[in-house]
Amino acid sequence: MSPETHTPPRIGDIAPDFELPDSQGVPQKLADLVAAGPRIFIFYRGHW
Amino acid sequence: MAEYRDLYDEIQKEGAGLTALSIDPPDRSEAVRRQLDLPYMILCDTQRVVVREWGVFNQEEKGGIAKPAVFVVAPDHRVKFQSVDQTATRVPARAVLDFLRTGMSSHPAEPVRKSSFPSVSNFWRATLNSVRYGVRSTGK
Repeated sequence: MSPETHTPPRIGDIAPDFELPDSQGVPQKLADLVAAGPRIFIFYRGHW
Repeated sequence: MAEYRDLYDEIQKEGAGLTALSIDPPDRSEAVRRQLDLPYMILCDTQRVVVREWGVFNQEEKGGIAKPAVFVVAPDHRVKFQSVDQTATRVPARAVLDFLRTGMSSHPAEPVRKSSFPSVSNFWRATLNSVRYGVRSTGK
């Protein structure tokens, strides 16, 4: 699997599912995050 | 990040949530969250799995980082808004808020940014932010 084959989901696509820890180590699932309403996801470069 | 912090209350009033994501580890993300006094959570994709699957992985820099990008995902998991950038700039938070306010009925990302927010102002905003918050730290 090459990472280059992935393109960003388009409008109307199903967002790829995930579970990730937040900055306090608490696991967060996409399904839970969007359950109550639309959610903005900001991807940022970070400090490396 | 701070731009969204400043609009957080208004975003919540629209019934929407807000989450940030980078490849930084939790301790570093938590430091950023405290430093900028962010009221929203930061997710930590240290394995670069989600940034790859969401098509926003920039492997040209420093072992691979996230491209600046914004998505709005609805409760049915469908993407309602999408803006992916190659540079340090991103779609203005105000434009995303306006999108929520109009009932997520249109896809404004490119038109809104181009018509209402000239690239010069984006560049200036990014420059100001990097000066103010030291977005790109060095030496790590």
